[in-house]
Amino acid sequence: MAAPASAAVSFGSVSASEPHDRLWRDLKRSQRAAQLRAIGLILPLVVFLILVFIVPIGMLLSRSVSDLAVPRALPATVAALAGWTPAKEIPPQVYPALVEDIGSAPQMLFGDAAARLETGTPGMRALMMKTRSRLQGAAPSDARKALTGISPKWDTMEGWVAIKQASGPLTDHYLLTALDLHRDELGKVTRVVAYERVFLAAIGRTFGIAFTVTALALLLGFPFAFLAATSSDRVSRILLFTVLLPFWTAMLVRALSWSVLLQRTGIINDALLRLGLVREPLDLMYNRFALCIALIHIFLPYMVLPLYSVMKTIPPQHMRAAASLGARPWMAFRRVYLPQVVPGIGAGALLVFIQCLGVFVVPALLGGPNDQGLPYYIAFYVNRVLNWGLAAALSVILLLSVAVLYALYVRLSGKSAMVLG
Amino acid sequence: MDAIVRYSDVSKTYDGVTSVVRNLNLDIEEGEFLTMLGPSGSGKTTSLMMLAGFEAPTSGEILLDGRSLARVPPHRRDIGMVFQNYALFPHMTVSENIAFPLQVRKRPAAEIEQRVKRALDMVHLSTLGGRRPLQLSGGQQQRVAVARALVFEPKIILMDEPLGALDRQLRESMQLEIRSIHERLGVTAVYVTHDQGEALTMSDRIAIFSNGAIEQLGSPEELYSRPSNAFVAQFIGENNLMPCAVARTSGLECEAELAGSGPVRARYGDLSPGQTDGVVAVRPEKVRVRPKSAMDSSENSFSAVVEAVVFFGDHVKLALRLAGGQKLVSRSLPEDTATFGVVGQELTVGWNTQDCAIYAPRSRPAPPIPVAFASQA
Repeated sequence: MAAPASAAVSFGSVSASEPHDRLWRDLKRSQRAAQLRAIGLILPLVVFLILVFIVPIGMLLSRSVSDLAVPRALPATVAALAGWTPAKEIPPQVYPALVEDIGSAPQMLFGDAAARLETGTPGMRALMMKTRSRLQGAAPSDARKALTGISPKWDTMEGWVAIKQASGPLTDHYLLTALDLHRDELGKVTRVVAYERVFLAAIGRTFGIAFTVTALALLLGFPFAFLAATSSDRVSRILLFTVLLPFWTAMLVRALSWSVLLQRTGIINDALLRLGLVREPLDLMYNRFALCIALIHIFLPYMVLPLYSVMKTIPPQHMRAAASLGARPWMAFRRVYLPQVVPGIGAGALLVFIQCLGVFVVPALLGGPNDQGLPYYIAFYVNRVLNWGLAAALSVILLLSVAVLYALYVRLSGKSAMVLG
Repeated sequence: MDAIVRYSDVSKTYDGVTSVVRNLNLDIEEGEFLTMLGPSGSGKTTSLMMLAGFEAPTSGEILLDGRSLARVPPHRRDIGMVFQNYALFPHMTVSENIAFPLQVRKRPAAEIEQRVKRALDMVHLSTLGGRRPLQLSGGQQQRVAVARALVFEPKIILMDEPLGALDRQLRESMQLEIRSIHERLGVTAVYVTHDQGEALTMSDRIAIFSNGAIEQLGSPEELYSRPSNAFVAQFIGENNLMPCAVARTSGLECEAELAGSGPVRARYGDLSPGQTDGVVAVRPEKVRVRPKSAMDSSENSFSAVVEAVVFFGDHVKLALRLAGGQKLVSRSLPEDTATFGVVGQELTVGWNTQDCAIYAPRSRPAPPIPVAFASQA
């Protein structure tokens, strides 16, 4: 082995190094055009994705940790509180600082700051508004006396802790809230009081529903995909057509048609009543049952298609070979067929599961109050409460859990096993 | 020797109209290497699949060791099978593939390990047990498939065009390897192929299939030298088939006329009594060519014109046209035809009566170009 290699090296170094370099340059030049062309082809999509996808999502997610409302409206107060911790006395210079900030802050910034303080400490909004309207732009000589006169609360820690905790520019307040946690007056992370704990339950519910739907979709989709993958071309085309049909209607329409079927005066209850099977209409809607049925129906194609495409690649000879080698049908299925379908199961389950986590319309239309998942809360905080920080934090949790699931999947299935249709 | 497998009046139809296999009767003897040879659609693979248990006969039955297989599912037949594309399990290593038939039979782990090792040694893959099938070359995958089909010591091993996906050189060395494994183990082998060369080199006996029935069953030598009808004459080896008018049959010989070229005497093939149309079959290597002036001692002698000369190195083929327009091919040593094997040259061709036969014509027409020139088969 060594002899020819060294011969080649000496040959190269003596006479061929110059042409070799030129060869390398020529190769690079000839590839450049192809590279430019490739970049040109994907550039529009890359720009589009950056502008409408990555940037807005980044901006939204950054809201979950950025905390600028209070420092913008109350810069002097924030500066005066800089070195303070709740273990110490309230520093006297914060009183004039707050009076000064209230006097100079524009209406809108002040409102934002009050709203932000309210999310951390209920009652702060009212306190701030009351303080501002009582001061009416005046600059009393004894700021402390004036403030404590407006509300004795300014004499206690609570209000100052609230301002201190919201003094930015970064905060973990929203992320903690999204996990039913908060910082107490001493800055220690603790669980919120029992009646305020909603998000962990919502996260659990979201995952529970997603899990149920995924499992049932797999149960229903597997035999279907198997039949489609192993029948004749004509039959499999018809089968796939029926499963793709729901794709052609909007998710909203599909959810609404389920409500036509399931409501108290709907088709199913009508039929049951007329047949005399029930005396009163059944409550088929606004519960977990209706939600799961509709979700399975909507997401089944995402389960069937990856399964089908993987099953299609498994030669029918494999089952025959297993049989000829002495394996009973069940054994052949379990040891030879199933392991080869695993990438399809993984891809299908992942697709369905992730979409279930993010679905909003269907639970809103068909689910009850106890069937709403994280997307409902995100929409609620964006649309109703205008608490973008908390909405962003909930989104972060949703995004992270998907990322964790995906990483777990890649880890379990090996790097090349990802098959998405 | 006893028949280990018996096809008894087996028929198979898929659509109820056309029969894929028609009244098949065939005894396969213990320890022999039997090849089912035929063009695609001749029923050979279906016959094999019925023995393996993946298809069921529409009528008739198949006996294994004297017992009917009708109610025995494939996994209890104890028949090893090598599939066309090997059907190795891609998610298992080579060793796991070979261990599979032993594991489903619940053999003890120590025995499995030992037998897998022996099977790997047998096919010269001892060092590749940890690889996945897709990391192996076609020839290596083929050997794994053979090892897997033999490791549980089945009574019979079936092979369905196992070498079809390999290139020619590899195919030839695998033919020898499979043949030698068969001889060492003494297992009964049933082999399906459409490649007559493969069938001739490997088999103890060959069953030639056409249209769902066996045309002829015999050793390679028998099939080559004494084809029983025009189909076999044409299918096995190269052959010149020329239509002729039968004039007279006498005993084992008959006389006929090659229109415009002259009379021909030949062995009696499968003509019906009184039949007047036939085909003369004579193999290229039996056709002697001589310069026009030379004396020809052959019993059948004609004058011919050279239309093409093809040089193959160890032999040369001449495409010839007789006076009456019949075309045939001769095969001879290059030095024997050096002086007169020239396009346009007139010469004399001849062959012995014992080297040609007259058959009843078959509906399937002879290919327009002699097979010899399509490729060197």
